[in-house]
Amino acid sequence: MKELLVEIKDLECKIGDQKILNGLNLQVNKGEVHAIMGPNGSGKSTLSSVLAGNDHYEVTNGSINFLGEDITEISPEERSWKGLFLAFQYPVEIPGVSNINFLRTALNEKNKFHGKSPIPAKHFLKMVADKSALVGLDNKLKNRSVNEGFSGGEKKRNEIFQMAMLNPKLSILDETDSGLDIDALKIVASGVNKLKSSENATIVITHYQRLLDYIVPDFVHVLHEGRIIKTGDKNLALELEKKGYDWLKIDSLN
Amino acid sequence: MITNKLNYISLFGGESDNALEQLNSSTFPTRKEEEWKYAPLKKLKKIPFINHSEFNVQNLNSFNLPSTSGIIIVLENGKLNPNLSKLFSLKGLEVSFISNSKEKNSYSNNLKGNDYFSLLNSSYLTEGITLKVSAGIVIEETINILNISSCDNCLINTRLDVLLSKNSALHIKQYFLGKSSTKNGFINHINNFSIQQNSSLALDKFQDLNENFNISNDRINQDRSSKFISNTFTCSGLFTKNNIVNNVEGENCHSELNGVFTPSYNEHIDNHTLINHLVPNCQSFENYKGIVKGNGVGVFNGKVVVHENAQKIEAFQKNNNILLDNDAVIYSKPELEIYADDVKCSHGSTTGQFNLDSIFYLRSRGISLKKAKELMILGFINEVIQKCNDLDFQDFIIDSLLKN
Amino acid sequence: MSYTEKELKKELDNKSYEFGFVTDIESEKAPKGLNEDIIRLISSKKNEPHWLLDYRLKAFKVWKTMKEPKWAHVEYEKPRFQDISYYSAPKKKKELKSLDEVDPELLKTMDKLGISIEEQKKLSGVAVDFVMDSVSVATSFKEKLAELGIIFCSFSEAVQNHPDLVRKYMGTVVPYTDNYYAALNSAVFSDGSFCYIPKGIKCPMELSTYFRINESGTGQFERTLLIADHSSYVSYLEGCTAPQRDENQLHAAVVELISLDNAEIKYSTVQNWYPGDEKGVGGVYNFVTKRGICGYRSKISWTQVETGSAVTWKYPSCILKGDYSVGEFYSVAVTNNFQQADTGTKMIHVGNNTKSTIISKGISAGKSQNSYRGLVKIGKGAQNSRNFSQCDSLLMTDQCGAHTFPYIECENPSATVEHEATTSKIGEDQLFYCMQRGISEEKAISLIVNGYAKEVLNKLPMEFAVEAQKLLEISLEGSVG
Repeated sequence: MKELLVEIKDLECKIGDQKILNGLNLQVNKGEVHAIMGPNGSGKSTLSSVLAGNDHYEVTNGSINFLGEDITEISPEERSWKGLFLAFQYPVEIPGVSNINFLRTALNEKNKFHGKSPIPAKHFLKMVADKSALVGLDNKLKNRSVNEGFSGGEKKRNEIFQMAMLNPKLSILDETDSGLDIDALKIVASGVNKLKSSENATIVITHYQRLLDYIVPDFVHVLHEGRIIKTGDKNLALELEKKGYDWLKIDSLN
Repeated sequence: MITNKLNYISLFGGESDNALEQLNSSTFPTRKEEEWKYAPLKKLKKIPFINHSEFNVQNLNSFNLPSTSGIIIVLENGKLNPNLSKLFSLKGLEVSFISNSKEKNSYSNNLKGNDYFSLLNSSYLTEGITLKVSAGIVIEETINILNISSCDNCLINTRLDVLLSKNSALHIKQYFLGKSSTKNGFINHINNFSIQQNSSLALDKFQDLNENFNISNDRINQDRSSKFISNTFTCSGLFTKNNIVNNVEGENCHSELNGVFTPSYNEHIDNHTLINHLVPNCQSFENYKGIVKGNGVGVFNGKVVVHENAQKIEAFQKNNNILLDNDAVIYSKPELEIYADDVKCSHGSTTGQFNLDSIFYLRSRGISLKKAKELMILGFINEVIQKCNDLDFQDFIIDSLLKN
Repeated sequence: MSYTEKELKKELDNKSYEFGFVTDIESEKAPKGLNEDIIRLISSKKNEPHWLLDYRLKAFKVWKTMKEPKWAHVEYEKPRFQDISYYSAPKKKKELKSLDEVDPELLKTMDKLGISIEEQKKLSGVAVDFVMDSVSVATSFKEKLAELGIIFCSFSEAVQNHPDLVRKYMGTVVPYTDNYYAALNSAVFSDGSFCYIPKGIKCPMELSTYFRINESGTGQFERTLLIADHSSYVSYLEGCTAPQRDENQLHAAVVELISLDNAEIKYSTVQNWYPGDEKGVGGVYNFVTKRGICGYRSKISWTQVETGSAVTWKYPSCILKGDYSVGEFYSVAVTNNFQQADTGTKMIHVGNNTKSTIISKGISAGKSQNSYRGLVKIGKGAQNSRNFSQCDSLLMTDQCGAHTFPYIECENPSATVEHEATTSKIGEDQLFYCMQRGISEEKAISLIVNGYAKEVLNKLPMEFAVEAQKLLEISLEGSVG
């Protein structure tokens, strides 16, 4: 029996006067990997931001249900505490805040929410060592400011490293493959695969089929003009790679 | 009569005829003068200042200062408070007080500035401390100097003279504190530092005046191959003005002026700096961070002058500000005056608010909005905090700045 | 690399002022001195309505109570205001009906300036108003513009033919109480340019005014008033030259721009007043007040290339009053010999979502002093305003000075204000790199300086960009071989 993790119903949102999501429906069960593909401007990154609770976008209709609870209105940090993680397409640089301090604060806030005591320093450092090995993150990067002066690849690895530290139930990878060479892509993908379990799920948002060779999806959805217009298995991704998106757009019109 | 300038009822006699004469013929500054353009001088002018010498502070606990094993000199309302001070002798360091000196007159006749507040200070000096470090001596212990205002409406004129002989080093932590219940005290202070060749002086200045005033006129003269680092942390105060003039008179000098200032409700914090590069082959760095809350006003006016023939100067100046509330105001004026060509000088100033993307990023990792803002503030001031190499002091500064 | 500086210095010393010729035209000049009678004389010569005379007299009254500003980073001998003749007009024999009737001497002058009206008429499609000393002498393309309802004429003509427009807008951006030289100008201004672009009209050609001081012992006090009505667009160019004279000539102009809702004004200046000789004798005092005001979603863009004048004191500014309005300031200022320039801009953000950009490039050579002075003010009510400023200075010799005085006043927390400035010597490694590739040193300097100023030069309309580039070369490269 599949256990429902997240259910998105009739989701609509806008930024300013511009409507971006337009009645989006999606269900993700525990243990599944979903890929969301679509041309530029179809609303992929907006979906990830809205799921994470960025109030830059205004949700005008629909709901997001996470583990049986409506989270549409709650703050980004509370979503994170409940187990939702977004790997950003463009990880933000935060000068002056060290990676280590940042992560420790994040973990402790999460612990506090779940009524647990702060993580002891020794335990924390061991965890950092273990998890950074997972994505081969250079040790010295951990003491640097969050993402500051990181290369594109380092930033993406740092995202997966944080994901490993926070151990989320739902991970959304927003164009994690963009800007990665093939070696870095393999490392990042293998990190993601190692973290996969029957208790969590992953949504992979991508432009290209390439990443899906390494993170194999159970479902592939095509997003167009703010809604899902086609769903298939991993073969749909291969088909898209060959034929592009235009045939689907015409389909959806008919 | 001086009452048309600053309103004080009784003061105990001019120490220096020379200064007093000049004071009497000088005028109280107005906002028409560039130097005082944004200053809330009216606030200061309204106070009927008095002179007071009693001690009201029983112990230093309420100030939560970082622990120290060094010398502690406490001036309370301008007088040495022996109960709170901890004085002991250190090899190569001479500590003296002007109240014990026989040459009071020559002391304050040695004017270091003819602006109104320097003249006021020289004319009515309450106490002065002199530190002399002998040649070749590195003082390992930190010298802590506390200047406390604990009496309402009290005018306090104090001065610190430091002379570093050749090849010496000294670290001073200077605190300007307003007792939390005290209102409208005014510490009018002069720092006068002379750093001889190959010597190094570090000054960490901490200002938490609450509802008191503080003007500090700092003059630094650097001889060749010397180093001066000043870190100024200004947490609170009705009106706090730091006016630093750093004259670099010898080659191969290093000068650094850093600061964090956090004016909050009804507060005005003003940092004026002038680095005078008179000779070639020197470097100077300036880095001031302002965080303004409520209807607070922050001012940064930093000037670097590279004089003719002072070639190969590298001067960098940076001022970043964050406005947290609707009525917060910042005035930033980074200036460069360059009269030599083979130089590398730059300055940058930014004013804005927190980057919303960064806040969202932090929150998406489970960090609450309040904590995220705190982290952002820490990140913002981190560069300057790191300039103090004493970890206890760093924590103390962070706590003090965040509590505001 | 001592060669660079010495050679450069020599070249700079020898640099000649290309436009330093005197035009031999009979002119009519008012007696020297400044008093109410002179003002009445100017006003009556120009057959002005009573309100304008009143305006002048009020301004004069205020001026007498004002003091010359001292805050600028310049030193000069105060002009002897009583030694100046406040009105000088080329003597007209009769009303000119077409350009063919213009005094041949005058046409020659324009030829020498490289703005042959004849040629412009045929080729480039730039409408030119030519102001010599104090009087507008020729305006081209008037009829063509008139078809679109565009008014482009001398200020005096506008006073006669469009008094309502002049009266409505004159002094609204720069009141006569604004500053010492604006007050002086308001009292004695003689002519200048007037331009009105009607609603919704995009002016199809560049409008251009050439200012020239010719007579000795005169001052030039022109006024420019430019109104872009709702949703209109105009690009306006202004060029300035003066003959070589030993005494200092005074130029105190006022320029007012009004950019109404959704309108855009692009205002470009190539200022090449006589800068004085290599000993610092003579040259023009250029004390100018230029300011524009923006309505809703409107834009004003100032571009200036300043190579002339002995002393410059000039801050083309924008009052960003309308929401979403945009102000821009792009400037290249070159000073050489004993020139002094204190120039920059003021961006006053009043409306919400207003945006300003400042790019200033200073180049100092000889014994000159070159200062950038600018104000960025974000008013309390100006939500979400943005400013970016970049002020760079390049030093060519060890006897000149480059200074930066930015004032940043931010009273709204939703604003983002960024200011950056650098001061450095011309890059020796860049020079060496060029030379290693076979580029002569003089050429390399000119290349580097042009590259350095490119961001600003690119903002000029084509017709001016070439001229400006040439000016920079003359100013810095000297007469090579």
